[in-house]
Amino acid sequence: MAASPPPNAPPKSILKKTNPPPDVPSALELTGLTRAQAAQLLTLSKKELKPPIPIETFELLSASFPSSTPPSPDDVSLLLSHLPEFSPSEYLDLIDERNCLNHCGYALCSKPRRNFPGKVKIRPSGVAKTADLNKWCSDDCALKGMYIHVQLEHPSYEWVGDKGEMKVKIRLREGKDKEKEKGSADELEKAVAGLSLDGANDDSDKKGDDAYQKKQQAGRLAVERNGMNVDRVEVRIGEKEITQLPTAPTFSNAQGGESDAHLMVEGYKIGSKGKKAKNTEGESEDDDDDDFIPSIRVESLNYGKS
Amino acid sequence: MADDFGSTSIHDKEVSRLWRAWRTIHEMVADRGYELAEEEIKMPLEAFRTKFTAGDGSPNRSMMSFSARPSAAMNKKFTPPPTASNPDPAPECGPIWVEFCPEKSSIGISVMKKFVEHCSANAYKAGILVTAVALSAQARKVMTVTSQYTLIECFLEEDLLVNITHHDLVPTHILLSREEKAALLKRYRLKETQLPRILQKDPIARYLGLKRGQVVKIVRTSETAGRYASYRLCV
Repeated sequence: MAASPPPNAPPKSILKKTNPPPDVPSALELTGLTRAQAAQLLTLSKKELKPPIPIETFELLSASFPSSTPPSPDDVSLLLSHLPEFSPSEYLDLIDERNCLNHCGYALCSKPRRNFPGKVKIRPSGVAKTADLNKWCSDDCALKGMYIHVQLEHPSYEWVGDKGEMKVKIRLREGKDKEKEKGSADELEKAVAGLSLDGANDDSDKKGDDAYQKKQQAGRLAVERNGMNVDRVEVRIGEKEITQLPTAPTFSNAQGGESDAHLMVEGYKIGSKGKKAKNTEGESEDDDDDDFIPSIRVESLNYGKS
Repeated sequence: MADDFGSTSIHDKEVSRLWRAWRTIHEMVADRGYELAEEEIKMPLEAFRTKFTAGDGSPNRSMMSFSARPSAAMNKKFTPPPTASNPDPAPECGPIWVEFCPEKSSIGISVMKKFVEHCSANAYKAGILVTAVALSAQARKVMTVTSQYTLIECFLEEDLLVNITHHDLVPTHILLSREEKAALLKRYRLKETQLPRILQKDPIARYLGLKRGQVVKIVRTSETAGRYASYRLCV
């Protein structure tokens, strides 16, 4: 007899049971990377495989670029906004491109480049190729131009904005003008003087303002160092207490080891045939010497015998 | 008087070099299958000098540019086989424009852009720029970026002083059409990649203007067989 279903049970479906479709794995899951790793990889690829500078940028910075002499602040900021993207070789390309149009290689100089004849030129500083000299309008511009190249070759990065992007830091070289240099040196001195230790400026007038600025600067510094805001870890420095007088280390003789352990090669001592005789002699000699010397004395005796 | 003589001899040297480059580029264009008159290719130096030099004997490069149309045979070679959707395909080749760059110092983006614009504005399918000095790196980039619609090539004058295909040790290279290539691959049951290769920057490949994927037949003389043919795929 077939068992009848209990009267209260819900009606049973006669349709085939279908499994829910398996979740389609996302691309992220397929690679087996965590989200953080993927993000890191993305930024890395962006940094490593920098897209080439578009030709339009080269045209912009080469053809009649500094629209006025001296260059307007707009020109300077335009150049500084483009330069961090350049690779060192692309920067050299830019110099080439400017030279093709007979401009000075330094991007903020609107003068035509020099035109020394011949292959080499003898100058007070030495012999130089004219091809290199003719890239610039003056030595000053050459210094300024190559100053940027060095910064691109050995980049120091700075964090830009709040997005946490790293950008090559580019500074322009000041001109030959002595006064200007002196002025900048003075400024630097002032800046250094202003960097007093915490608490030294407590009695300043603009205390609240200063404190606020300092806090902000500290925050920015923390971001620059860590890449993000991190809670500080408390560090406690403790003194190690010393209870007894320090003693100088001695040779292993005192600790019961063999005095000539340093002569052993894989447990075998060279010329160990007359070992016993030597040892007794060595010990007899040891007695009237300092603790440090015996092993050395034994050694010398051994050599004498063998 | 001596100075005068010196200056003309300098121009003489330049003119004769330019004449040789002119001759080679004409031979190259003719070898690629374009139509050129025989007297234009084999122009003697004297005629060249009277035609293309200024009063002081200096060459006038801007006058030396020329264009050529593909011959019927070339059109046939470069026409893809008809398909159901495209029963009457147009040939992939078109007129060519050759220009001698008068720039003497260095060639930058602007010069190159002007040349490319001229080629595309006049619907040239190919353009050859013959320069006296090397291109800048970025100008070279302009050349490759725009090569989608117009095939731009650049040659140095000094590379064209002799026609390399006339050298005794250079075998004959013949460009195969699409059908010939397909027949070759079928005959030997090969895949493209199983053919020997020739680089696109190879001097002969540059001379023939080979594109990636094209196959050249190389015919060498052989002591035992008389002639020996091999095939290379351009990569």
